[in-house]
Amino acid sequence: MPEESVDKQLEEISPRRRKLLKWLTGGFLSLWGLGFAWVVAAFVKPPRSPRSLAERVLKIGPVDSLSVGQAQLVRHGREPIFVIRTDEETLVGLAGVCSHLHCVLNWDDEQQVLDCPCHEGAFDVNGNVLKGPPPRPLKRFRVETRLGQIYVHL
Amino acid sequence: MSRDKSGILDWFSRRLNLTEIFSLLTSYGLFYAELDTRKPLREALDEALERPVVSYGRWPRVLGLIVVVLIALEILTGALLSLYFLPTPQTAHASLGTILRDVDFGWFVHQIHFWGAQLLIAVLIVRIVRFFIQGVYRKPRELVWVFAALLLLVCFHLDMTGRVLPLTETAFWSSVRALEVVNAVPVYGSFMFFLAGGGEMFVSDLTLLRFYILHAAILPVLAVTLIYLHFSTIRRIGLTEASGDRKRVGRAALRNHLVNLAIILTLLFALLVTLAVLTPLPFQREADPYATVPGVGPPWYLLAPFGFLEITAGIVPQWLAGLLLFVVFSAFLALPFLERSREDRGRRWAVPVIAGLVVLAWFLLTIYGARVA
Repeated sequence: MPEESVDKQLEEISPRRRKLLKWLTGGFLSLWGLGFAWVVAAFVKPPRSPRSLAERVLKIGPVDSLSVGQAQLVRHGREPIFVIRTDEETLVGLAGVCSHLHCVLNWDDEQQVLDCPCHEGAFDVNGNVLKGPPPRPLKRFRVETRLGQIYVHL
Repeated sequence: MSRDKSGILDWFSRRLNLTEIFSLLTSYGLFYAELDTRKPLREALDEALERPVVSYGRWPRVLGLIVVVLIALEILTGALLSLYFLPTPQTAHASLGTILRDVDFGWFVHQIHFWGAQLLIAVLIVRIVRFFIQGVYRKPRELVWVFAALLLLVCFHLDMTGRVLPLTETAFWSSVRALEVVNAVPVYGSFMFFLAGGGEMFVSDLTLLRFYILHAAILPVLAVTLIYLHFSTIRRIGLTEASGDRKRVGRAALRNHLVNLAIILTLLFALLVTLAVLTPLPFQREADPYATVPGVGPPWYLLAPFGFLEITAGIVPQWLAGLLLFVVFSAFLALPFLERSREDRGRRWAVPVIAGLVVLAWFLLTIYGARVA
């Protein structure tokens, strides 16, 4: 069986050409790896919106059941949402979970604020931090009334 | 090439036996020369590179590499799919719908997983045929054959158990057909039937979960173990050498080999993407166990035994036909040992002729099975 030294073969290639080939191979493999990583990452990320419109919109109930200045905690899977009626016209949808350590908030009727039971954080009706440790305002949800019914867009 | 002795490699090699770890990796087709695990990695590699090696990133030895690459790809895509798949009869079909419709690249990962599996089985079959033709089962390569044959059988089971999971019409009825074949074989059939937990229809509510566990946990571990054993025997005995082979020596041999590996990966991936895009597996509606879909046969690699059972149905009792299948599969596994005992009696021709006839019969029966189904 003939033997061939690969090293000798390599020596015949000029250093410039070898450098270019090395660069091309490296570039190709890196691009490929990036594409691969991108596909994997995109797959692992949970799909943003549920499949159908019906699953994206949550029906809460009649507008009349919520008087001005009141709030309702909507239980939706593992994601509680507060729907607050700030005046006759306006309904606000806010995440019901504190942005600090994920404690479920309470609605304070008198002060018109959302209190966190864990570390005395508080949010106003627009989700802004009033006091305490929460680092971010609350996530807002679009609320709509149609035919006297309240709907929250997830 | 002089390198800094305080490099990261040396830092690790003072704390870990890197040579042993690398040596383990070589059993998966990276670099097949045996390493002296008592020496530091660099020294052991230098020593191994001094020995001439047959370049095996080329035809026909490339098939083994392709098998390893495909199994790695199947494990990766399978792990990804398992992030969304819910293996209960109520949720399986819908969760595949989620993967295909909602998850980014979900259809792509699913198609690659499916086509990768079909390609894997095809390559394993081609490989075993090559082993047979080139006599890679004669002493001392008996175990090379046995492990390769077992790997093929394990991959059949991987595909069969995976096929049923989405519970689409074809998936369901194709699995029922496959289990009919399995059930006809004595001993093995009743064991699989017991394992599947099937009822009258072969595929019961329990079957799905059991097949899922087999498909996602038990069989992959078996397959990976078999590949390790298979490559370990090759490493110990050495590759077969054909007259046209050139041996390669020197430091660049490994790099050359890695470049070959990269080229194979690229071509393989291109082929898989082409298949996935141009001939995707359709997403059918959910199977109704009370409405048999006509014209659904078993998986393509089971068409021959299926056709055989159909042909013999009126002539011999099913247990006899099943027993014959059992004998054929056992002979397939034990081929190296069959021939050795014949050799002593000076009948070297017997095994190739009989095996050749079996292969021909298999081919014809596949065509017949496809027409029946």
